[in-house]
Amino acid sequence: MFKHPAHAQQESKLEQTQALLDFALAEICSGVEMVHAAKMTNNKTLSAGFIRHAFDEYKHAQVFNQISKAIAKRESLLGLSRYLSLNAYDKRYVDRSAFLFEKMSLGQFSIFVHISERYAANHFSRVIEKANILNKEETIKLNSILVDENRHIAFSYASSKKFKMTNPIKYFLFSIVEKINLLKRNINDKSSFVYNFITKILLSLSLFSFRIIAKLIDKTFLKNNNNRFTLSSAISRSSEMF
Amino acid sequence: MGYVIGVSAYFHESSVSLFRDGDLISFVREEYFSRIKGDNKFPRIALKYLLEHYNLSPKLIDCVAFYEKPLLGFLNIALHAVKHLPASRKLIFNNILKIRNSGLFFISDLQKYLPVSRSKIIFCPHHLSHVLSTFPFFENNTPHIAVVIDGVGDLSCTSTFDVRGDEIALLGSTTFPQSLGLMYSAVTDYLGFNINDGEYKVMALAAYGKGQLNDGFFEVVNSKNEDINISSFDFYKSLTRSYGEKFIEVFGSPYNKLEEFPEIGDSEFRRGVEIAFSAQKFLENKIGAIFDKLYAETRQRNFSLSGGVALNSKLVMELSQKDYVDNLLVPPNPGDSGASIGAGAFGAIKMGFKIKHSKTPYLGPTPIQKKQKDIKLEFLTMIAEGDKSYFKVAELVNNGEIVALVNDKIEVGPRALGHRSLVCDPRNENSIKKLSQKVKRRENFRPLAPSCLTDQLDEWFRVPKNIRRTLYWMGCLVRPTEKCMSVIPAVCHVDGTARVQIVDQSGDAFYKILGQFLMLTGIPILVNTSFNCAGDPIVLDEQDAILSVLRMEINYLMIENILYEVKK
Repeated sequence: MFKHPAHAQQESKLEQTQALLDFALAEICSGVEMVHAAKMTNNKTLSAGFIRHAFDEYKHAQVFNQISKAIAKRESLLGLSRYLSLNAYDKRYVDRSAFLFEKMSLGQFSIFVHISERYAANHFSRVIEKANILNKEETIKLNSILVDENRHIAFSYASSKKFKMTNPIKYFLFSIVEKINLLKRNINDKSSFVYNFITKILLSLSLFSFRIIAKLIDKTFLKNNNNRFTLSSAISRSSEMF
Repeated sequence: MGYVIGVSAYFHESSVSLFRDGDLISFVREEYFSRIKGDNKFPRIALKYLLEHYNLSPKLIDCVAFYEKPLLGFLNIALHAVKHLPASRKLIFNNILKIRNSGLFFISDLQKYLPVSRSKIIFCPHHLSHVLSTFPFFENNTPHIAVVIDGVGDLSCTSTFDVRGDEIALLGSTTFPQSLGLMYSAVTDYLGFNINDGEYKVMALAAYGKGQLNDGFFEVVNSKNEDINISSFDFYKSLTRSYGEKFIEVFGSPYNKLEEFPEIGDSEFRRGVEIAFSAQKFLENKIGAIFDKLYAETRQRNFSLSGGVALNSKLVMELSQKDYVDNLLVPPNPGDSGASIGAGAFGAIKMGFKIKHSKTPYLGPTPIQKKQKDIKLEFLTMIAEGDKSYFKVAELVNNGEIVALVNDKIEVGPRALGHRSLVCDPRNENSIKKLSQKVKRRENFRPLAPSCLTDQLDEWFRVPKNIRRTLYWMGCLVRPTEKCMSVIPAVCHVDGTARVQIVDQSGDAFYKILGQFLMLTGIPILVNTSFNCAGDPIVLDEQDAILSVLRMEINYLMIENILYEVKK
């Protein structure tokens, strides 16, 4: 898991369950990144390793998904956000503009994976400890995910260590950069409440003016656009966005 | 050479199409590459694939056509939302927050990845994109009436056009929020399925219904003067809920989105199927009436149907049974994703090209994308290749195995047609149950589709002549024959229908496998479902295929005509 979910600090049953659903999405997105890395690298061993890593991530996502559904049913929780991989972009688990392997070198990628996996595993184990909504079987299943995560940490450490031996300065710099990026991502998450609050105030103010503007827009503009048209007339207006 | 690119983005699955001298040569969905199901962002990876695969530079591109008029659509939705303030404030907030990922920024997004001049960028009215998306798939240039029905595009929800070659004229349209498509999506939402994804589940559920709630449903949803009674819905003002309070008052509490749909036999299952049945019936009646009116006014007997609602294969079957319909064509990808084909056709026509016809539904990338060291043998053991592999697949299927097929170019539409498919024996109930519930994790009320060799079709299915072409891409339901019902009942749905695909491309691996299965068993039919894990897009290439067989615990995989066994 390369990025931890924003709900993970929460206390209520609903929030804890939402956090597990978010973990599922975060795992899927790590899987997506790994598949992409497998397709881009020319190293056969690495490519196969990335596929195996992706397999683990998807398996974890399924476990998180099943457990959160079971809890939602058991605790009669309503109001949970629906689980859709499309939310990956809005929740910033995947970057719209590039996959990690597109913008990072192999060395940088392995340092990123190592730092992120280690951070996520620590964070995840704290979430399991704190969670009071899990039954024994669910706790065992989640702990088995931690075993996989520790294996990923070991692999990515070995890979980043190789890079360190050949490029010690770059290794040092990349590690610093990735740690700063990790911190930035978490600050972004923690400040999302403040961000949303401020945004809502600004939007409420803009809504008032938007209402006035909307009234001013000549509605015949829209009606005119619905006048009968032909393919030829559409072609003649094809450069227009309306 | 004149190259034109069509783009669909920001709402449904993004895609790009490529026309060369009026000939549709490629169609690529962004989700193939991004592995995010329903990926609706600007299709940067798909575009990159087209540019690299066809060696295209900006100079070679005649024009790039977008599939809608983004400003028109934005203003339309915004004006409706503003009318319903304060109830619509969350919807407006959301639209404003997401404005950067909307069609309003198409030009800058495009120029970031393909630096063409502004004069080469054009915009095709949304429903016209749908009409034109049928063009490459017509066998000839027959004049016809084009009916477009979707959620909403630009201003319109339903449009009808008179099409005579490249002469296309709008006959009529209904505007937002009078949307039959969004009515059906609201029912999808109410039943606990995801909008834009679960509508086919509602269609499958409807087959179990008896019409017990028809009167109540029609009373709530029908409007005397318009298509729907808009006060029963919230989709035009709410971000979180598509159905209105009235819906809950009459039909009870909505279904929990996080829970599995109730099992067959459960009282909640019965309630759900009756609502689905009424929604399906309402849709069929309304669109049937549109067809009747068009025929009465124009006496035209040839029709095309596109827009997302055209994915409803039960609706297509009902329309094809109208005695005045000589020909009904639904393209392989009638929804917004396929509208990039229409946008590309629009651009090609603008550049003076004639759209070439009779295209195959296989127009995407092949499974092996670039010269990369082969990782297959890390996970797989080769069993057979060439002609032997087709026989071996037939033999494995006959022995109750499920085999994954990844051959040649990927399909244009949402349905797997043998190039990215999972197949099993239609006689073997255990295999079918395993495929449906364990491997694909589908709800048990959903049927699996059969693929049948064309020359054997009439023995197994009753296929009206007017819809035959659409069956190449599973676009319509048909009635199975008595022989089919008795020998392979598992491919027949509870209402006595089957969504059959006909296969007759003799060079194709899938055709050869079906032929071998016929020789071995006397049955020219295989169960065929898309090769993807639940919640994932259909697999594109060998890496996706390997990962998917591991995740789905499938033992056999064919990649580019070579059959492998998955290592334990």
